[in-house]
Amino acid sequence: MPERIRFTKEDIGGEVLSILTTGLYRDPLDTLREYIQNAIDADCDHIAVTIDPDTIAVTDNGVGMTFEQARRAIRLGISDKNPLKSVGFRGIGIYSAFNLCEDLSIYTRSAADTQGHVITINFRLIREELLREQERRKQQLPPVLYLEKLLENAVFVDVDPQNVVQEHGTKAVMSGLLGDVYKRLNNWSEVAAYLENVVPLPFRPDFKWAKVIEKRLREEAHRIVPVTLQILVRREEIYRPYSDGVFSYGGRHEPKFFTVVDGKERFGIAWVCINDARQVLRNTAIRGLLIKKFGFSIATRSYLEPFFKRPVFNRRITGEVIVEHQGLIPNAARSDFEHNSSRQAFLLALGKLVNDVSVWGDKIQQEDKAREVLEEAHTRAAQINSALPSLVRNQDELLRLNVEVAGIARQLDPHAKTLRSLDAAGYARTRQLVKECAEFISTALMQRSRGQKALEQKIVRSIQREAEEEKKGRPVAPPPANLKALLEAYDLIPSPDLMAFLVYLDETVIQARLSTEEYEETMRVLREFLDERM
Amino acid sequence: MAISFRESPAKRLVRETWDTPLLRHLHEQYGFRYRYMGFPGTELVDVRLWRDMLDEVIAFELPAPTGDQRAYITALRRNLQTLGIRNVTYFGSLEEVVILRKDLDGIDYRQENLITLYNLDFCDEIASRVDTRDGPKAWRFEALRTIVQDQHECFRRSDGPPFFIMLLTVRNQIHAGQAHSFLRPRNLVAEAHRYRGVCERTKRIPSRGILLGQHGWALKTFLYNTLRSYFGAPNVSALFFPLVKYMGTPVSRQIPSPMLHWIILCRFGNREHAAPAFYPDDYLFNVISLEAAAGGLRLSAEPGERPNHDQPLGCVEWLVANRPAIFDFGASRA
Repeated sequence: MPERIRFTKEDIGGEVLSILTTGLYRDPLDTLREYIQNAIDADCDHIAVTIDPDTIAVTDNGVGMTFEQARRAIRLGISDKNPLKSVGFRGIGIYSAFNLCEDLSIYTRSAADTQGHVITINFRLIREELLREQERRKQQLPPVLYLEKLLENAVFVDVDPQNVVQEHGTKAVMSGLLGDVYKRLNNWSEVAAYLENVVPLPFRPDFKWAKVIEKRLREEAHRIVPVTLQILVRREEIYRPYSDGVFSYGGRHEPKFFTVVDGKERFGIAWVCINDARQVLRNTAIRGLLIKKFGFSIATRSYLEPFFKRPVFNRRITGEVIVEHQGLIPNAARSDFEHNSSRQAFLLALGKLVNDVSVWGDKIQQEDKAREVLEEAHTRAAQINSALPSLVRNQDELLRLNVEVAGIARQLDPHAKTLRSLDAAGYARTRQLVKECAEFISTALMQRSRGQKALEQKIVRSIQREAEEEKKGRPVAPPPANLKALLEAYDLIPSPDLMAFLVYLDETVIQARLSTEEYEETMRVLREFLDERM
Repeated sequence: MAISFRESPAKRLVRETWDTPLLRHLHEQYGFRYRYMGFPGTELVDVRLWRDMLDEVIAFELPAPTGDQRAYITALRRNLQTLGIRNVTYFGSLEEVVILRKDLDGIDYRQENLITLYNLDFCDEIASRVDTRDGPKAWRFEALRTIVQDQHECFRRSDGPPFFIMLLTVRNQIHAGQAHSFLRPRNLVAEAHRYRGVCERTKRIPSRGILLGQHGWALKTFLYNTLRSYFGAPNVSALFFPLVKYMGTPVSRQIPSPMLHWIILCRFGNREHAAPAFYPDDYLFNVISLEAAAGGLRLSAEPGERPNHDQPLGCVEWLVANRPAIFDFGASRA
């Protein structure tokens, strides 16, 4: 069995600090994230981030630290934070500014304290010591700089005589920014976008669904932390990236909330907004659902796309899956969760979530389609309706419209059930309009047909009369002697009962009451009437 | 920690017994709150003193003369962050940044909001030139014109109050030749011209040499005349408080730093005040200068000033006695 080795403080060189921080925090934004993580873990309800060419300050109104807590906070690689409850838990973050600035001062005050405390870290001194040690190594001299000694000389916790933090909270001030740090951070849109992904920001006040979503998130005990960002002169509150403008018609559909659950295991909730046109969202940056834990984004919005049967569907929606499950631990790169049984169950829950979202979305989009059809049908039917009176003699156009109106009615049919539940009155109104159009066209076509037939008959009778008169050497036809003869002469043959009634009327009423001359005059008037009409 | 500026006891006396009572009076009686623009120094002495009345600080800081050039600006920024007051900072002298519209980091300078309290401290000779890459270009005092123009632009696009305060401090030093040039009769308004005539009879400007602390009347005349001309176009009326003379921190054992300090209460005109007015009447003659010394403030007349032993030594009392109707701040809270 190998001999147990006893490690001493001389076995850990000062270079460890440089190696750790340089490896973990290559981008100044990552360093910024660390101090913001600390603010969020401190249960603050506001964070201010101020950046200028020489300093960065992250200020929160969280619980702050007592002297003992501040003392523990400066430990390297040891953290009191529970990884199940806090974002940061590796115990390195406080040193993340090593490659960013000359000095770090963290002013803090616990609500229970009457006095604030300040942690100061002189990174300039640490770097100088490390350079001296490197020089010693080059000269083959034995090492003298150990981590413990290095930190002892450069890291302090003391009473803050200025009481910089007035009530409670923490203010981290990094001063003497190095090299290109400010150049990297002097990019408003990039820094703001980064913060959107690491802080549970509020929604824009002008986003119409902001209050609905925030209310629900608060009910679910999800925190919302306002952030004020100032880069030199520009100072603004920053918000999550959602606005009415990302939707085709300003966002007509209320957000839908889903519970992310697999069996009895609850992972969190999701809120989803779907585009109000059957199109993908124009803003590619917010297409899809973003998974968040403690406000920190995990992976990208395309993470869930493979879960959808029709991936395009993921691009028509936006929203967030807010995870609260303690077993889901973000990996260091925030590209996924640590692989464990909770993650497996979470993936199953995501499948179910996507299915639920698809069903809901499909219903919404069917309704949208039905509304679109109804609107188009009503508009076109109204146009046809107003044009019809002027088209009554235009048989070709009437025939064409007859076909079109039938087509409109057919388009409405498949959506009838949906429309009756969505907008029964509108649907009935449109149906009525379509029906009236169809009837008008039909009547106009029928009347035109009857008139044509009567004209043809008149011509035929005229021809026949001419032919007969020629055959008879043009004798003068005797006028019809009675009503029956008159009707027969004009081919007006009523039903036998009506004829019998007319004959009875003629013989017993008309002839009985008129003199011969008056009767002949009446028959002449009737002939003229029929001549005009026929 | 780098300290850019160590103030003299007299400077502190002026701030605490002359400036502060007025600012606090306007704050407490009329609800004034201040957006401060100036050169507070890394120690932020005045900002700390007036902290409860300030909403924002727009600060300027010079490069450190030795060692790390950024030491002062870094200290200023760190201290402002620590103080927790909203701030914007520029690297360079106020005059240079305002005139050149850029600071030494190349950051564009633009006045975004109305300033309600200027603390303009011209530590260098005000009648010197601002250096640019193309060589000396603008007079240092021309920064005042730009400041007034910027302020007017902000006033036009805002609905802020018409009042603002200038605390103006200059080194009592000018080349004799420049004094002659600036105080040529054709450059002066009638009051300044008359005043210069009276002063020349008792304390004539020599033909050459540097006037250090001996001819305060010349700088007083020059600045009064210059400000009146700068206030004309933007229609700014002004109430000039008594000139206060004090000794600042000496440049070296041999070179003292005599300073001149004014408070100027300004307001933009409206329809009723179509042209600017300047108060008190015959300011150059009628208002006796003060001097800050170990015992406090005392009357210390410059040549040409008419004796008036009843002139109050307190700033607020002086305002009460001399406030014209145009400076109506509304109902007092008292």
